[in-house]
Amino acid sequence: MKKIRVNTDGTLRAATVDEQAIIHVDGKTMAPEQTRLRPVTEHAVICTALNYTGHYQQLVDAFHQPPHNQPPRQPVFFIKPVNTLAGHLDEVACPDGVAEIHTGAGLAVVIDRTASRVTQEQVYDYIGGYTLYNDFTLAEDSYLRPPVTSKCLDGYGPVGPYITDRAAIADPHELVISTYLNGALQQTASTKDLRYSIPALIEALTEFMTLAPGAVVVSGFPPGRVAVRRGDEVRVEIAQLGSLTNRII
Amino acid sequence: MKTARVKINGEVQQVTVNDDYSVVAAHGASWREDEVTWLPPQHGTVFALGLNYADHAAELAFKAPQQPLLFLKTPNTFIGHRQRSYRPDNIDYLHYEAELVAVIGKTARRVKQREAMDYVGGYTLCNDYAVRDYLENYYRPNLRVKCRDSLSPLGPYIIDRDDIDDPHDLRLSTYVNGELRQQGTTRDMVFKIPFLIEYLSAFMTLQPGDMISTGTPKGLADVQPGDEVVIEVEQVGRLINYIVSEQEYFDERATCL
Repeated sequence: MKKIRVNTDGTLRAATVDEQAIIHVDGKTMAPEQTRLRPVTEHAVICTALNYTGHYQQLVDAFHQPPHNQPPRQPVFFIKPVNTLAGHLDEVACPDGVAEIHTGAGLAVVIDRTASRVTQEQVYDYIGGYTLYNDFTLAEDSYLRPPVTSKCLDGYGPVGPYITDRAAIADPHELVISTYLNGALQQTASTKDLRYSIPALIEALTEFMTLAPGAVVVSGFPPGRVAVRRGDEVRVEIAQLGSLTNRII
Repeated sequence: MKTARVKINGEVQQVTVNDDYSVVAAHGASWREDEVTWLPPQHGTVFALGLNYADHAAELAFKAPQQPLLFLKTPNTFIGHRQRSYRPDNIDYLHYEAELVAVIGKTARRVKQREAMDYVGGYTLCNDYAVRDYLENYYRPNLRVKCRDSLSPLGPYIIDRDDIDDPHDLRLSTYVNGELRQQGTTRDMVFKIPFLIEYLSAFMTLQPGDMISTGTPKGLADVQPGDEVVIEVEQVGRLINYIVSEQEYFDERATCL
């Protein structure tokens, strides 16, 4: 079973999608084209930077130099506030005066019970499922300061299209994540290359932050952001989780 | 007018607050300050400012920034007036930061400075604690420093914008166990509220209930379990907070669940 949120008659509702792609909401059924999928969470999203081995290796020499002086000792998290939430098929706006923006395909975990100071061994008990995330951003040239002006634009964090139950994914560290630009494959990566595994990330995060049911944590973004321009359609995909498509305007 | 969210007999209520911090519910019943549980007065996105007072930047051996140094706070970190914050075990330096917070009153998108104050609904206070031991030079100040459970007392209430003569001419103080430790004036803010609203709303939409915590002046010091920390901004109010140990905090939380 896959969980979604839909907007019907102006009201946001929790719903499910079955194997035939039929939507079940409040005891009724509807075809996918009869409704609009909304972001699968209502919370600010926590993302992890620098968490693919390849990306980290590209930068680690620079991380020994000023202004960083030493490589990160902990996972590097950042926040995408609620104004960034967007759904499958929502449009993402490239600002005036900017030629291209960057995408970031991420595997996201969805927390389904209050998680505080969770140890790695317990982490999967707190994960309800998985979904896809696309971290839209203006080109980023520094990791020194929190990425607010580059990553917190309205709608710069599509999440969805649905939540796949945890039990349906045998190992979240064996997933291939792909980015397609106008239908053409631009990038693939494997979640086996995550530096901090999902249990390690959730343990590190919940050491200081209590996560509420519905919270979304994104595990990282592969090296080499895919650049997109107005009119482009970008799709991020993990076969077992579906695909999340957005068009740039 | 001052409005707050409090819990009375297990029920969350929107109340108005008198000058003596007694509260009045919609149906007219009233309670003393210490008879209610104070909750954070709002729960929108909080934008916080680093190094936004020149004297504080100098204290930390930084130059004042050319652009606002913005970071975000997450909801887990907010607690109300008169609640407890915990000092993590095995650290050397947990410090308070007294800050004036502008609360957005209506949706703001591409607002210019000269109109920006129309979008402020009111003000509140934030004690934006930081655990300096956990600072890293990646997205600094990083979440482990600024987004820890309980370390952002917020409130006690929101006071209407028009009840404050000039938000950029207010004395700001922090008292630890009754002793004055930090003092400054909002005159010394590097980036002022209208500038910050223009700056933020240029690239994103600010919603009612979003908050801008405008930074802190110099005078930071470590606090320890057992300390009472009061931050005060002239005309706006005072926000009381108690520091407890990690064990005391989580023991108490376990009994609440």
